[in-house]
Amino acid sequence: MANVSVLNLSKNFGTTTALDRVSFQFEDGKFFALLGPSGSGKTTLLRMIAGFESPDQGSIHIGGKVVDHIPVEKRDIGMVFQNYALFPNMNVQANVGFGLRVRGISGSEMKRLVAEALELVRLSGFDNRQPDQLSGGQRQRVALARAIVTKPRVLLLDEPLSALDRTLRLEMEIELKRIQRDVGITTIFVTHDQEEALTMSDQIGILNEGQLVQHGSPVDIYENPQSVFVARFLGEANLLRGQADGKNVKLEIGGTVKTLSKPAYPQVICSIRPEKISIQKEQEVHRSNGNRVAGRVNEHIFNGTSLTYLVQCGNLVVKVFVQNLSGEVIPPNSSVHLFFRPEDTLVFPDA
Amino acid sequence: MIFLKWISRIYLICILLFLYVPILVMIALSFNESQLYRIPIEWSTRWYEALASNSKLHSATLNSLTVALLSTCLSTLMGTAVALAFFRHDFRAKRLLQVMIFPPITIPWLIIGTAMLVFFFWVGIGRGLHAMILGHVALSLPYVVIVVSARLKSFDSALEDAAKSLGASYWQTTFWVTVPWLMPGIIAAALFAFAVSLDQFVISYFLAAPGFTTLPVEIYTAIRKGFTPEINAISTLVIFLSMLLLLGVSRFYRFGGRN
Repeated sequence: MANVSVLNLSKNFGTTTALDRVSFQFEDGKFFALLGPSGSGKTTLLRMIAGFESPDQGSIHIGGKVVDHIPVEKRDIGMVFQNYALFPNMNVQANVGFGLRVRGISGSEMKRLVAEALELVRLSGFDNRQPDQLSGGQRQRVALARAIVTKPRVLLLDEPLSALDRTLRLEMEIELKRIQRDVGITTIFVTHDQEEALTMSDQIGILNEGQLVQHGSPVDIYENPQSVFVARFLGEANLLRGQADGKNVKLEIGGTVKTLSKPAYPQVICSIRPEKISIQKEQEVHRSNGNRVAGRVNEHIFNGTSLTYLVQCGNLVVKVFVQNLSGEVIPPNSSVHLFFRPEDTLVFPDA
Repeated sequence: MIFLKWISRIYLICILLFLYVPILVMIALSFNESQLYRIPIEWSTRWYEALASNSKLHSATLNSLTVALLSTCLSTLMGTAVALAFFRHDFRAKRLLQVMIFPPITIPWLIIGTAMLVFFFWVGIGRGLHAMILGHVALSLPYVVIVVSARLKSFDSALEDAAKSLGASYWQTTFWVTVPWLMPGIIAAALFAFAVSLDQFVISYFLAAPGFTTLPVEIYTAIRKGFTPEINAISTLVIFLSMLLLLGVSRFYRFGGRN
């Protein structure tokens, strides 16, 4: 187990910048997600920590030691690949035992450690299966067992769940988190799936165009995004354009709102999460404080536990999530008012 | 449509006849008692029996197999390494190198043979078994590179990454992961190389030391002296060996289309 830190990492592929001066500290034993759209540099960063790519600038430390000139095979890492990369010419036992065999551990000791790892991923008794006799979820578990059986200092996961179907993915998210907690290994997880990042990680780093744009705990990033990009990429956000007068924001769709921080720019974008908005029929409005916007219901999507309203406000459709408390549904074409607190109204400069 | 189907069937039969009738005639005649190709054929194995006591043919066969075996080992080893290098690395002039591997396939053997003879004398290698092996390696190398590269096309390089991430060195990765996966391709390539060497005439003829002959060369010499059905018999055996090799290759290598 070890800290991992990257310092000022930059990498160019030809004329495209894959990473641009990224610095980050991955603390010992924590679960980190590197989240970003494709081409944001998250996989490059992971492959650099593994040692498959070398940075143009900057350096990488594992366990306090510089590893810049240490090749992949000497870095003592475990890695799970997108398509698992199980060795097709070996059975499950040989696959999981590969790292041990390389380290000169064989015979009963090897078998014992392999059995332990397979038990951890709940695949005991699968020793003699061939990879092509396994389901996607089972292959994933074998790949994970293979990566942790050598007790590496860092576990690197490159979109390991993206090849699974939805139900299996949710199940594996929980499993993966349990295993990580049991083993207590520093884990770095690359994903483009924001839900995965939110549910699994202790810390999230968000990358965009080669830069680390924000990092923090899932709650912290979700509640306090520092940019429109982060607000939109992690979770959903209604983005309302407006003009600020130094105190309030006059929205393009009508209405004047107060924001969390003083708007420091004349042209701004306000961001409000759909679940922070409450909706009331026009004739039943009984609240007066807070921010208010008028609109008309376009349609609703009934989910059982919750409702999603799409509300036409001026030329914009605002999304509203409502918990199904009363069992009542506001029909389409009703005039409604949307309420949200100033604390939930984030303001960003309009670039 | 039925008409088209029949046309294509007849076409196929014509091609097969064209390819195999001469061979079948030769096989039939190798079992004919008469030396003068008299018909009807009288069944006999006397030409095969004659083979048993023909020591010249024996040593030529042994020479052929020796050259084929040694050159196959060398060219399979080298060709696999070349294919791996092309697969793993991007370097300047890679395209050029890839193209330059193939002249032995396209340049007439006669010309290559002459060039090798001149060159080998010039640098002092001369003629002999070693020269023949060198020549055969040069000829079969491109086939090995082509066959192994074809297999590598479907290799997932993430497997090599995975091996390295688990602590495997360069050689461990190569011999525990990549080569086992490539094995069917390597075997097919080796059989190809063996067949190329076994059937090779021109290069062997040019590079053999006086008195040292391989089977194709011996057959050619025998024909020039006067044709006997013995040649039919030995040729029939060679054909069966070649077909066997080919079957072996097809077990591991797809000849166009899908299996």
